[in-house]
Amino acid sequence: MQKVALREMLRLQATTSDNLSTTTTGGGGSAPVLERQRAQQRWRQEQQQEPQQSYFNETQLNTMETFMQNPLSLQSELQAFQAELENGWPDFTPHQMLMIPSTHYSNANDNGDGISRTWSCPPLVENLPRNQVEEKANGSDVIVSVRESFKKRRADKSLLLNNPMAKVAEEEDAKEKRIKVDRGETEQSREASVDTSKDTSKLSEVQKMDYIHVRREKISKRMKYLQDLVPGCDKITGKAGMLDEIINYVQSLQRQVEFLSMKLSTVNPCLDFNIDNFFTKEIFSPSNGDNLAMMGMSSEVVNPPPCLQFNPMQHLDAAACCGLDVAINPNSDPLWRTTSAPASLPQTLMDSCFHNNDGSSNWDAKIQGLYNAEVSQGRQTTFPYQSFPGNANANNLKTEN
Amino acid sequence: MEPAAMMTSLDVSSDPLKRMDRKSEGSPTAKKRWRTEDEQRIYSSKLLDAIRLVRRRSAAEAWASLKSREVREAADRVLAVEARGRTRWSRAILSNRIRMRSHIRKRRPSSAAAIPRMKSAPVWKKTPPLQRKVRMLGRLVPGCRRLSLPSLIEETSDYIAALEMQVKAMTALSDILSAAAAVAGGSGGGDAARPAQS
Repeated sequence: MQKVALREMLRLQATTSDNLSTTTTGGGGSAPVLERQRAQQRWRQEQQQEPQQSYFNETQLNTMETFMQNPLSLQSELQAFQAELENGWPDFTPHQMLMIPSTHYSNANDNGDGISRTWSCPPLVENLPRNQVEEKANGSDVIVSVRESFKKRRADKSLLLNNPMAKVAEEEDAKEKRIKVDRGETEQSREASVDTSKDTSKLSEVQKMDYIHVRREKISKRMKYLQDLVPGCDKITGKAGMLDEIINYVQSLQRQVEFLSMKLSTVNPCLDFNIDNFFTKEIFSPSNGDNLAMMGMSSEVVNPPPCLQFNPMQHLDAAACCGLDVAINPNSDPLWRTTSAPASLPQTLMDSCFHNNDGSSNWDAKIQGLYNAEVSQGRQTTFPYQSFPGNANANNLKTEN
Repeated sequence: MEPAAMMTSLDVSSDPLKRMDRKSEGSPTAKKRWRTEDEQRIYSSKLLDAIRLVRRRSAAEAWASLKSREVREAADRVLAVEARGRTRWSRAILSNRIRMRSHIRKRRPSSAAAIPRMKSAPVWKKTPPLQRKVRMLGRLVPGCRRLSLPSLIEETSDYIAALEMQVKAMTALSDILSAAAAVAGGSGGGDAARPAQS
């Protein structure tokens, strides 16, 4: 953000120099640079309220230019100035603040004469803005206040210079504001900035309002999209209610995922589609005891396997049908007696599922895809895929979708 | 296993990879992002592989049963991979996983560190309820804690769509696997019972 602010300044003054930005933002000199410049701009803003506005703009622009073209003196000056800032802030009067740079300038800079003249001439600022004085205790708050004034100054500057970059500056302002809001900055600074922004002219205000409107429109647009996504949100209006619903929905989805993962973890070792091991009990016995129990109970095909009873999903019916039809389906009987039965077991499952589950077409296609994936990976040794009549149905279903 | 190989074996109209690439990240118009069946299919197959891997890994270390947490993390990871890192939550999931692994290997992290600190009562009441909800939503969606409302909503919409697909895929997968296990168990164990039933 500091870099952005610095770039803004340079752009506004139309004396962009890449070297400057890199040198000024490098190392430890960046913070004092920014503070210094912001303090200067604050003074400039104060002085803008005085009659000698244009004169000071130009001269201060010049000072900034020359100031920044001399990075070495800049560094030393800024360090000294920062020391002053941190140590003697409560004692500063505007007069002092104005005087110090002049002394520094005259010492360190060849152009200092003109600059010091410039600095000492302007009328003293009577009072610092309230927020700055109140927040002087904390160093970070100092920076906050400097930033506030920086934003004010930029608002004024945009007005004065009638810059096309003003809109960007306003956006930066609003963005800064938003970022600070999200960071939970004090209410005081926020109110102060709002108050001071009301004081600015209408032009900058209108630009700000445009940006806020754009932002609100974005939010409302996305909320509407979310409304379509989250079931049962048609009746609810307003951000708070919508957010509640969204939070509940996300929580419920996450809970479902947890439950499903628990189920998947207990389900079975038959993930290993290794055909040779498929019938051997040795695979099943070392695994979880409940798995064995499940399979023992599920030998009764009429009852759906117990694990499925816990399933609150709508696919319960589909799975039950799967289990049922595998046993009932006469096509599968001869297959089961062959050694290649396990390879075709998934196939029979698929067939039966396809016959019975026209509703959940997504799921069917998914199953088909799942086993197609298996096929393509070459894990199945014998897979008479094409010969199954059910496959034609499957393809038809898929194309219908 | 490549998605491209899977695609060629099927009768699909458009390449889902291309479809995924064309979609813009999280924009409200990209409604098909997590809804297509191809994506669900890809996800299921990848999830299957991941679960197999986790199972093998847990089997190698000890004959401990597969924890649901590991499965869940694997599922989230596959989901994040499928997002191709275009959304913040997916990147957060992937980076968290790497971070958690290194942490667990090096030291036992204190549980207190994981628990987010709650603000004291008076401070909590002062923050507007809207802001509070924004924070809560930010905590739910991984990697979106300190996000402003508009971008948070974007991330949430994508995350919800992804979660829905995840739930669907995992449901189907678990159903298939359990049914297959039932059948396999039935056929392996009770061949005698079958002629009676059929």
